[in-house]
Amino acid sequence: MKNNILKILLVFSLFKTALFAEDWDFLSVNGYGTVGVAFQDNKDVTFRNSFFTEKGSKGKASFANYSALGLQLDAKVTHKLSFTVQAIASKNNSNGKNLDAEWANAKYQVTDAFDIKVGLMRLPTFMNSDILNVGYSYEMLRLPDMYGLVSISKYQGIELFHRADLENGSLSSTFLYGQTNSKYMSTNNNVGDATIHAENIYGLAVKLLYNDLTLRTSYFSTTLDLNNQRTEGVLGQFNALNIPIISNTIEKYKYQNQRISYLNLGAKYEFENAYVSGEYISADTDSFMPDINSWYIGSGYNFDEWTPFVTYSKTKSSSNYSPMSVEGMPMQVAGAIMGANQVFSMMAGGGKYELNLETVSLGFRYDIADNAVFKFQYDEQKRVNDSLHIFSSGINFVF
Amino acid sequence: MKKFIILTIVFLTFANANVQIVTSKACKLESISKSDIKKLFMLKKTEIGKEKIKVIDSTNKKLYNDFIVTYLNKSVRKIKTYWVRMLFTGKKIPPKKLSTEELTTLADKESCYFAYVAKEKDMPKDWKIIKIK
Repeated sequence: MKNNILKILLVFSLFKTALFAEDWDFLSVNGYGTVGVAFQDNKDVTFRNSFFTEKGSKGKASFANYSALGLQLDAKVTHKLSFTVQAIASKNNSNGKNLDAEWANAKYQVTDAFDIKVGLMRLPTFMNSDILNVGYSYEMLRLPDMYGLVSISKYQGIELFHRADLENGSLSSTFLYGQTNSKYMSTNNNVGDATIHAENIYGLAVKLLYNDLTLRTSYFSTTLDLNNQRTEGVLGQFNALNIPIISNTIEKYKYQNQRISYLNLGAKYEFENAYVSGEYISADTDSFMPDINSWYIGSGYNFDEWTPFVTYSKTKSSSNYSPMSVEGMPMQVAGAIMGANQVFSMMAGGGKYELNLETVSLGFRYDIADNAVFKFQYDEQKRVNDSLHIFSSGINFVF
Repeated sequence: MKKFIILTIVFLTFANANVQIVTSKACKLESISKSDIKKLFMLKKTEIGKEKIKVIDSTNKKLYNDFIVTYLNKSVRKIKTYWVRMLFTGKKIPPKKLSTEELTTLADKESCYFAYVAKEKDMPKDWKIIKIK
């Protein structure tokens, strides 16, 4: 991790030196970062920011939850063509490694209101998901729980963006298509990590800005493969029994080639120095993976440098699994079906400890300088069998 | 108290009125609306009519803040957040910032540049004030 940060800083300093020359004017290098710490005193539970990492606070302070360093290089080749590359060092990277690329794309600005991007882009699932790593751009230190629930955060593909100017605002639409790979890191030794491949990701995000009101909706759908050795082993053993009803059930609910869709609704209203914002997301699938519904509402007030905020968030998951009937089955087969029902129900209810949450967050942002802010946040998070008290603080900066 | 409020408003009006939008020699535009200025400096527009326009922000903090409040109708904090969001989502790179003196020495004489100065007497050589519709 330390070496990676040093490498980034070295490249950054070389670029900055080169950019003093006017011939390099078409290039710009910028960066962002967070130095943050989270602490919760429960030694049996890991409080983490995403499924991409198993790191987080577990009875002691952790720098893994928030700390990140990002570097972006933009090259404007012509009036219409530009390139962007952004790399990040963080424990929350979707490739499960300390260093990852977040953006790497070419943009062609067809008109002022219409552009096309090809390459690697962040997935605009939520209001803040394309800017999630740049904590400086929002008030909270840790965004509501829903931001850590979706197991894909970026994609390689194509994105079409259009903005229509209205009298007191604008209406922008983003259409995208692509594919991606990511990791699911388990905090439970009995489950093990998984690799995720999502293809045929397509979706649409529409944002309306009208005076001080922002309304947003997005819909994404993808075909997902979640590969985990242990679950595959278990399903393979049941499949080997050659009982048609069990094999058909495995085929129906298996973790591969499953369509999953996300619907997000969001709103933010800013008046005077205050804001109220809220979002809702529904993740829907017909597999062993659970459906998820999550929403939050939050508010804050800006007193010059100080911005206190409060947020309430609720997340619920539900299993898609309907147990197989044993009616009319021979005794031996009925026994196998009952065994399979027990195991499959556990699989379908997996992750419920991190997917059923009720969180109240209180905190403040303090603008230290033009490019740096200090944040403090206290979260009380109710889980199925636990209640976590999380204290977090950190500095977000841009350069 | 009333007098104080009126005086403050009068003072602010005059203080803001000092920000002048100026254009480089190559620009053909004679006048512009306040709404187009906002779109240009937020890079929502890069041309008016058929004329391509490049905008330059000021390195003078007070002038920059006055310009944002007067012409962009936003708080400085909101504009800062806007640019951070635009930059790190690959949407737009914020305009270059130059001092009033540096405007005069711009090497590119062919392009049409829009900038702003504090007072008429600060006008860079060969630049002109554009009329606000």
